[in-house]
Amino acid sequence: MEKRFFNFSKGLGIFFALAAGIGTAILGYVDRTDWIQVVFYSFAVVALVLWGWHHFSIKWSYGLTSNKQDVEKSIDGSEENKRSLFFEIISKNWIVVVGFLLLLALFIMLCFLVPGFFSGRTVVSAVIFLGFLILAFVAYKFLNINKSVIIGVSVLIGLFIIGSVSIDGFLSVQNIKSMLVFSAFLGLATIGQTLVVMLGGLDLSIPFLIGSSNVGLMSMISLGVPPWLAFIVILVFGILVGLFNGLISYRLQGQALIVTMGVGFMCIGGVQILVSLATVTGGMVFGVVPDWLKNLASLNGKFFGLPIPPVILIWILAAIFLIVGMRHTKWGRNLYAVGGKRLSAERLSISEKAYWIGVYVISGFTSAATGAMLLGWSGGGFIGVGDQYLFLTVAAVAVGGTSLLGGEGGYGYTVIGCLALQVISTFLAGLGLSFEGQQFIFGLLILPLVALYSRAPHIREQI
Amino acid sequence: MTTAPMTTIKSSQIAGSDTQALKYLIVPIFIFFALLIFAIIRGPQIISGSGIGTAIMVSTPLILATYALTALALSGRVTVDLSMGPLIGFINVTTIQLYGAGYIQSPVSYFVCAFAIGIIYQILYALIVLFVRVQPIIIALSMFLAFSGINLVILPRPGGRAPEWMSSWSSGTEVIQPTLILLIFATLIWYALTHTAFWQHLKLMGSDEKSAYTSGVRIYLVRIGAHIIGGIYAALAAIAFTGLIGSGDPTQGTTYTLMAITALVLGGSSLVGGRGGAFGAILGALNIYLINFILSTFRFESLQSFVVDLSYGAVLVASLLILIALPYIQKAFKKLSVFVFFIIGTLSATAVLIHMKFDQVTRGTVGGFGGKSRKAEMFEEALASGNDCLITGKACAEGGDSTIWMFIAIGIAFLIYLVSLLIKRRDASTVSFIIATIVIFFGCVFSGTRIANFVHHDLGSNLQYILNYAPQYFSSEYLKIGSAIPVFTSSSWLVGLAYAITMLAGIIFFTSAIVIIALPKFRKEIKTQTLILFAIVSSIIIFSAVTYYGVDTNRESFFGIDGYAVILICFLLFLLTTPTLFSQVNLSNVFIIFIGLIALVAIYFLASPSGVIVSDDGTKFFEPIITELGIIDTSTMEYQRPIRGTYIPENTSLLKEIALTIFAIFVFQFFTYLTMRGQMSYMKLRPYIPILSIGAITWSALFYGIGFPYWKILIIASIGILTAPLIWQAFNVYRVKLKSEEGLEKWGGLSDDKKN
Repeated sequence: MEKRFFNFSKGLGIFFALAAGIGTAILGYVDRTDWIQVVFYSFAVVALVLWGWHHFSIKWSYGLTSNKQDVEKSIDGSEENKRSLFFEIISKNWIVVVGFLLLLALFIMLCFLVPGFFSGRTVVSAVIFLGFLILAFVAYKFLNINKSVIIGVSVLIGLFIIGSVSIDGFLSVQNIKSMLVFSAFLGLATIGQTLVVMLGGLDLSIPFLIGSSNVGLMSMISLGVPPWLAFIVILVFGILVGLFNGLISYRLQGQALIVTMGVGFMCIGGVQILVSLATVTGGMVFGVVPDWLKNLASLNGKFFGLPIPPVILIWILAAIFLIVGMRHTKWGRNLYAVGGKRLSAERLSISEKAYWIGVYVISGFTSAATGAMLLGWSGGGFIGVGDQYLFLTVAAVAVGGTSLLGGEGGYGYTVIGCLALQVISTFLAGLGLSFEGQQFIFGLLILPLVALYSRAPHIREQI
Repeated sequence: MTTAPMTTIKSSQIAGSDTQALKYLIVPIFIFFALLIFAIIRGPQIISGSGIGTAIMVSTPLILATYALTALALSGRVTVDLSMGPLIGFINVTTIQLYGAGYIQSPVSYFVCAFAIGIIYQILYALIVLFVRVQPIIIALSMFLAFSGINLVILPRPGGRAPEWMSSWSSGTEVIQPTLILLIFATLIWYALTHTAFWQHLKLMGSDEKSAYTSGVRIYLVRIGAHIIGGIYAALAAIAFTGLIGSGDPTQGTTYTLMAITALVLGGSSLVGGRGGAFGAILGALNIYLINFILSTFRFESLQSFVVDLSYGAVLVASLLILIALPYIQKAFKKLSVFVFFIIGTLSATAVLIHMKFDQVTRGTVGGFGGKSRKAEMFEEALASGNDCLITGKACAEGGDSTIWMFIAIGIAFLIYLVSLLIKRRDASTVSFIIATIVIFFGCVFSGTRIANFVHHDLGSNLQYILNYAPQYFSSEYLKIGSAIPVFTSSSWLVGLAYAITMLAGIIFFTSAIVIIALPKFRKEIKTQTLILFAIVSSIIIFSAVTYYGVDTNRESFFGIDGYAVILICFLLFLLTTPTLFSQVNLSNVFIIFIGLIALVAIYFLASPSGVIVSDDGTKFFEPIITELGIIDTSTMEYQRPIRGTYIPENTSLLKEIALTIFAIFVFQFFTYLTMRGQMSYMKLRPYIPILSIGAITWSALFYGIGFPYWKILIIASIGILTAPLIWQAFNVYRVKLKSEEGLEKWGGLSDDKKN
């Protein structure tokens, strides 16, 4: 009976899933949606329903399968036991359930309150979104891999779903490409920040360094210095600033935040004075950017004929290099050791000073490189080009799940953080909000995103 | 020396033994005075009624914001509230808009509204830190973005109108102004807070949260409390800011965050937690103001904002670097108390102020140091336009009634201190001392005017004037007494009486001070206090004489040659008594001040390049040391080397030069002797090298500044060090004698001190 019942319910599930998928497709057609989206939604709905059916039919019939004893117990148990298991799940996670219901209520309320909000598309996307939330939550509970990765990826996908639902052209190739380019810039700028944060520091000189290398490179090129030489000079400049940062903040680790901010301001002021001595322009420098630099970073850049901007590839390469490097090389492991506990690292005869200064040098280098590449993207030097990275780099690291106290995390998390932030900001921009409104909501969103997993233990447990 | 057991003396009674916890203030104090001296050199108008008024008005919001940040930074966990600036902006624009819409019309509701916003936000902040348990910096970051956005939504561009009752807040021409009252009020609350158990808990939590938790501090409540304080001060800062700009400005947030954090760091607070205070916050904010002031005196034109960036960053990094060196500085200045350090700074700033005031042009050729440098046309021009307060020191009295009320307030505070002193110690010297001071105070306030006419230009014939007019240096001349107080003229009997009493009191005061210090019978604490009062009063004298420099009525400066002479005589008397001052209390620091001043004065007398003691020819005096640096067209920019006085050997007789050299050697040796506290041998020189080199550099700079060639200075310094034992021997006689007397005293049980 059990077997037959099981097969029957499985078939029922497949039927429902297919029905839901077809229904979605019809709804999408009626709604005159882009075909990419219709396909996307339909597949998503089918997959969700299938998975949900499978998962919950088994779970509710046999209890929590993750533990074999539980399964046996639940088989032995009576009907009452099964019911109680259902309640048990709910009572264990009542906060989540309440939150979920609230979200549902909000959606229904919105449907009633906002005229024109209720359409096939929104309903389907809401269903997908809510289903995805359950999926993410269950995965979080039952999968045994790093939780912040799951949350990060879930957040990313969830945001992506919301974005693709509510904004036309969100899923278009051009938009995805531009999002990738922007997150590549952010990701490159955040390399240094991630490494610095791994050791428990912070580097706020990044935005200023980006701005000053941007302007510096442009003015050097317009003064007639060969572009490659200017590029190298800028990189050396970044390394030197990073070295300076590392040297002076080593003894002031608690105040690294302010030290680097001060150095950044020195940088930006000094470079601007130098630049303006030649041409007084007030923050903007114009000139001809060499083609290879333009190609490197602009949206229409080609990589050996492929329509992929090289900066994305650079980012991917750097990310792979860093992720592998931090996990499998001695240098990377030592970095975790120093970040985790200074004393232990010292006992292992790892030089704290060398690592501290090293990460700041890397940070200076990558910031300068980002600034130079941003020049290729924008085509003119602007001192304020890095301003938004002041918070974005820290936010990307924190949202990704690297602990600001150091010793935990890695660049892989930061990649997720960068992508998530980029999706949010594209989404907010796509909603047609003014810049101020975007900033406001963006600020408010960072907090819950970080709060999702980077919570410190209670003081009780720290002692 | 400080490690010796002190069972009977409270540490607060000894000047040199303030707690180690305050030592971090040395750095902000040093930066403050360095900046102040530079600012005075660049623009003497900063020390005037309107200059101080503007400084108060502009820096009050910053000071209050720094208070807020300090309270938060004290709580640890790197709670640097980067959102402070946008929060202030938020309160600013919200209240402005509400007021514009007709809601919060009365001042009370305005304040309540501002406080409510500040406190509610900060409580939310604290709750998030406590219960969501994310890093405070993340909250600050996200709220920074959120506030910057919402501010622009509330008020898209700077505008709006501050409440009516705030309109007088942005004038800033008087010292006593609503902003100052707000600041004083806020500071009083702060000091009241620091005397609570809560504050101790806060500091403990900031420096080590775990141990605070384990020792039973309710850290949740303490953290929320710290945030409430932060919110209150943020609201106050926002109100002062609104008063300052008189409108709403949604864009100031970012700058303000940066400025407040810079001020926090410049004030010596630790971002890691557990260290910081109001004094540091004030110093930090004033440092920021001074940096801005100095930069505004240069003409950088379009580069201005970049230079501001650069200098903020440089100062930030420099002050943090000094923080690294702090342990070493503390080691080197182990014997230097923070308070004394502050006095040293005050006096050196005063000295520069004197120099600058008299670096200006006077009309005639009469008067000691009045006739110096700057072009006479500039002066005439300014005088004709009625705007001469900017180039002379006389602006001072134009602060209206408030200036005099400030003096009276200071005087009353001082009186209260004296009365408390009197209640504690009812001995003859204290009583006479207090009487003298009270009389001086009244003499300062109620004095008339007089016309000084100096005709003789050599010390000998001016001596009579010195004798005649010396008492007048104890009064603040030319106070324009406003409508609040009846106008006194010189014919008034009250003024005459006050004047006579002042003269008498001045003599009594100086004599009694010297006697108190000189006689070993008095207790060390009294000696210390007398010394400090002596220093304060002399600086007040100098200050008043400089401030009320009466150019407007065609009076020549009466603070000419005779002024210096009076001070010199006083200090010479003082110097003669110093060997007897060799006590266990760390007084050597105080001597440093006075010897420095003497050197300064003596240089003016002995080393004027014209070869006569005092020249009446203004052109022979020096150009300002720091010349104008204007970056306008950078292609034509020229870098002039600093101009300094030229040394003309023909005009200096051999005898005079020898005398000068001997004087320099003597001063240096005496300094060495006092610094080393009589324990002199070459072996023991090493620990004193830092302070000795500072002394050597100071004096070298002084001599160099007046045109003495550098090689001679080097020779003088080396001779001074090498021949030191000679003079040490001489002083040792005093010391041994004093030791024996002290020993006798101990047998007699007269002294409380148990140190050796």
